[in-house]
Amino acid sequence: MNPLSHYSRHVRREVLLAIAAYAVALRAFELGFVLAVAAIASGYIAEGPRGRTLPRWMATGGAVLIMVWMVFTLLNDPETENTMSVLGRLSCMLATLRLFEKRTPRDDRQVVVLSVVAVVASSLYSFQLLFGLLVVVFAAQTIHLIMLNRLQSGFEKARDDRRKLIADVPVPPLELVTGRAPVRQFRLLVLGCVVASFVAASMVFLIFPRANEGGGRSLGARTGFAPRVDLDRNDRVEQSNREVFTVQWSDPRGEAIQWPQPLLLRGAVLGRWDPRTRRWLETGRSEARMVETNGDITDYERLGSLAAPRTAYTQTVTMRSLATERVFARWAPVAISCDEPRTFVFDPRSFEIEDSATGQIGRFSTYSLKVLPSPNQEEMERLTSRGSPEPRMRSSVFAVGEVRQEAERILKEQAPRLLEPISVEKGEEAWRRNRRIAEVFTDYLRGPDFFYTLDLRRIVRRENRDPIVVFLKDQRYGDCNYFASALCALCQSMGVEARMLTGFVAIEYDDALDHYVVRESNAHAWVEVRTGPWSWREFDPTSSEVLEELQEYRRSWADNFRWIYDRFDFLWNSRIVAFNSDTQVAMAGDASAFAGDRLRGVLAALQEVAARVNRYFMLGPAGYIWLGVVTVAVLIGFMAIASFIRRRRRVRVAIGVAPARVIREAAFYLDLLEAFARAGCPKPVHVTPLAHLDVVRQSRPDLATSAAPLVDLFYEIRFGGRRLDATTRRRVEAEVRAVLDSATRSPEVTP
Amino acid sequence: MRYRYQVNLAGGVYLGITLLVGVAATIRPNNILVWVFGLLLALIAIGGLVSGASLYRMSIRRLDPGHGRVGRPMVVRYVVRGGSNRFPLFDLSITERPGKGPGDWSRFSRPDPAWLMHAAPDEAAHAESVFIPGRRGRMCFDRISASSSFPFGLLGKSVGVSQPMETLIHPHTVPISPAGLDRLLGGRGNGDRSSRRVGHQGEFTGLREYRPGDSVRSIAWKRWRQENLPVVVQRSSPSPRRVILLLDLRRSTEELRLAEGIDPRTIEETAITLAGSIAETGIENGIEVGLRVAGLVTPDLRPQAGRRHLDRLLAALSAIELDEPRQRHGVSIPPPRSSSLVVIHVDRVDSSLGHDESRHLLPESLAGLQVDSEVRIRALESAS
Repeated sequence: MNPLSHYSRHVRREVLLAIAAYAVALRAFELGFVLAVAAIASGYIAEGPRGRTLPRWMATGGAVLIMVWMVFTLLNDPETENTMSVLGRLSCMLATLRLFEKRTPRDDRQVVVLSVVAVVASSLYSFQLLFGLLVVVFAAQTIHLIMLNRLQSGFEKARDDRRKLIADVPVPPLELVTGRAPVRQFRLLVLGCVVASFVAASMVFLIFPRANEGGGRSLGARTGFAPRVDLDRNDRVEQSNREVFTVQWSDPRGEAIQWPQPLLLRGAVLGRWDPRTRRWLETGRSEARMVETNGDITDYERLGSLAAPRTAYTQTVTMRSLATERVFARWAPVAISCDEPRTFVFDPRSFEIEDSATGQIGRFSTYSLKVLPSPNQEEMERLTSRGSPEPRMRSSVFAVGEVRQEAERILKEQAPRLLEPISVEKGEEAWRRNRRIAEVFTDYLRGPDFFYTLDLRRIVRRENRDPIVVFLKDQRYGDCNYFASALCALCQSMGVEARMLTGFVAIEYDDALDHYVVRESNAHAWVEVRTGPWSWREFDPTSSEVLEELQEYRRSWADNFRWIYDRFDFLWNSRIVAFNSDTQVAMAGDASAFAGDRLRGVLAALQEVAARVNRYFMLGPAGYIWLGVVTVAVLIGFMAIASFIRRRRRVRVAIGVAPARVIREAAFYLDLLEAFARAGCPKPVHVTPLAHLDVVRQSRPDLATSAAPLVDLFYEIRFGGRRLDATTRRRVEAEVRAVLDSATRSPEVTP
Repeated sequence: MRYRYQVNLAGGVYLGITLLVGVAATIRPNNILVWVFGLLLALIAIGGLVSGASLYRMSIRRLDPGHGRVGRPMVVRYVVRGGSNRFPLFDLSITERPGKGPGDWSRFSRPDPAWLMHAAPDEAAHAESVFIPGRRGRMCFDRISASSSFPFGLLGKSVGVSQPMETLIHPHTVPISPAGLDRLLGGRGNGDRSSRRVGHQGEFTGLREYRPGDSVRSIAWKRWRQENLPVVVQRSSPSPRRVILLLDLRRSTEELRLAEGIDPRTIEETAITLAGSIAETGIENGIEVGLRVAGLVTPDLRPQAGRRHLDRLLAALSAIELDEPRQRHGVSIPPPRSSSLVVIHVDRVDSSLGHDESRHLLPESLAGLQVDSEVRIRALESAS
């Protein structure tokens, strides 16, 4: 049993961890599975009893092939964001290939470097708790492996050197130290290094300067929700079951309720399609209002001039992981409160609310809204606080002409009457027509010609064709973004006021806790169509059946245990991932306040003790001076005693086990050793004083001559039992001082 | 002790990776990357601390190997004691620093660093290095260097200490065949010799008159009374065969009369090897071997047997300095009959050295005397 017994297993474990981290970070589970199986198989193939390793040329050829393949992958998809993922994949594959070779410790170091590169590259793509745990385990394993590698490298080098020796008789071979003690001490050292490095890394983590936007925005792009709709992507939509937040609804009486239909929680409102960037964009806010909360969750602040009526419902959102700076609310929010003092921005035109003052995610844990699901005209007027009594109907225009042709074709087939022109002045009839048109388009998109999918990888991006037109005419499949975009575009092309909404759809209701659980995969997009002067109606071309089917499909037995995982996940996200400069500042403030309080407390306690002592001894005002003097004297005495004990211990170490009297009398020898050390001749432990004096004589004869009588005297005291009288002791002290001066004055000579 | 730090290639690569990760952590707002960067920085500091703590005040002591033999492994042991009572020592490489003197070890052997895998805190551990000397003589050691890049290999740290030591390298020897040995001894066998030692050694051979120095216990009291003369018992003990090797080095290396193309120093060394081989094989066969060197001031060694005497003989041969000035005057030649005399000449046989019964050898004789390699292999196989 020696520390290197399982060295190869540790190398394999390192590669496996790197593969797992990469697979988790980039959700490349197929690749991860294949590589992991290969890595495990290498233990049986390359390091098994038969030891069939790949020839060097074959391994090199394989590495070249992998690299060429990766270059082609990069050229095929030259996105800057993909570069590190390709690098990570390359590192994983090369490290796995290395496992099949006959390796030296140097090759093992390359495997370690490749694994580290894979994990570092992966860390640019994931913030998950599981990935974080894997990184921590990987770091500990890497430290262990590097230390093992040093030992293995030293052993193999020494063994090779020994094998090169040629003699008439066999050369004794080099053997490893075996036994429990080396293994135990090595493991303890590894553990110490791991703990110390983790603590130090955490310190660096705390003080590392960060930009204010921190991990928030980049994280927001990965939580499913984004305040934009981008139809230029053709990858697979994530189906993460991570809990984003929970929503509790209570009716005006304060009782928790569940809505009969899926609950659409509005996050961002996008009104304009940009054919160039192929994105839905926000229309901008001209009448935004600032609303400040005071940190009391029961104290609601009005968003408009309307006070929350008694008929208002209450929506309480508790953040579970990080989502966005947006506030998710059902139509129509009237008032807001938060458990932290915050500043929200409310757009009365779109009813968007966001925490743009700090712009951070997850900085609050709970916020609550008063909501009117069906506000009347007066309530809407006061909520929006518009000056005009009634906003005019506006005729929208969609920028892509082909969409209008398609819309007319659909209407011609489904409801030709809706194509007849109608005067804008005919208010109610116009609103009804708008609603009818939106319904026709919604039904059309929910029809059998279109199907919903989250796998967008088969979509071919075409440079000269608008993706909405392609979706409507040719493609006819996509996720909610495509369906909602198509509906919105069709409506707008027909002059109907419509806007895209992104947010979350709450489907999963927890009966035990009386709240909705909203997960990352619940991110959704739908459309609002203006159906009255003050009213906007939701149209979702994705049918609720599809959403519920997806919800069921995503559920697995593991979800039963997510309540455990989600707690840690929430802590991970709120404490680690969201750590930013604001947190740093707050933490520094807390620390200084804590230290200040403690210091003030200690000072106050000292003052109290001093005053009590002063009163007890009735010293009067001058008593504090006396107390100060006594304290200083006690401190000096304490330091003197500590110095004395320390010197006594050093003397005992220098002259070995001896009676206390001998230690006291022979203490001058310690000064003599100090003089020798200053002169560049430190005494090794195993050399006797006289032998060492001979060594000193070779380099510093003057010092040795003056020290010789003292060394003799040391022998007399240590072994001859001689006692020194006061005169002799003073003389010895003077001589030792002279030797010390002599050693200091003379130039140092290195033997 | 001198402590030195050096950044090696792995350390440079590591620093490069750390910098890259640091830049990436600064550019990309990613807290995991920040933690990884902190970890990389921490490992540099911890590596330096652990390495420094384990090597700080460490002591190394070289143990005297006694002597070595040309062509055979000489194990040099080092006693290492870590200075820390907290940190164990791992992966310590101990090397002898080459010096400049003519007797420096680097002129005798190639280096083989000793490697110490583990030394417990505040405990001594042994590491061993193997030297295979290529020539005989006084091999000098001076500076020892202990280095380690444990735990992470980023920073190499070495400690140097001066410990002068000298050890003798015995000449190369080859086994002499029994027939060759018999020829050298002139067919003489073992005999008996009278002994004055008391006890029960030897056989009774007779009585003789008392001489001062005889033990009281050897007195034959009854015969004393009969003869009225102090008489002691005379005993004899077995007398092994004796041979005295006389190495003729009266001519200096430059004056040797050799054919062109032959290195005179090699021939001289072969002559010494021949002497050492006869001495070793002789003593292994129970023959008493003595040594005298003509031409150099070396003490004469009386014929004796035993391993310790063999060491003395080989040490005397090792100490021969061929660069020293030679002396022309002869050496005292032992009388005939007392022992066999084998004179080993370097270039040509000089029959004036020795007596009529002495045997004269040249370095070339070694090939004819030594055991054939095939026989040696067979002997080794049977021994194993």
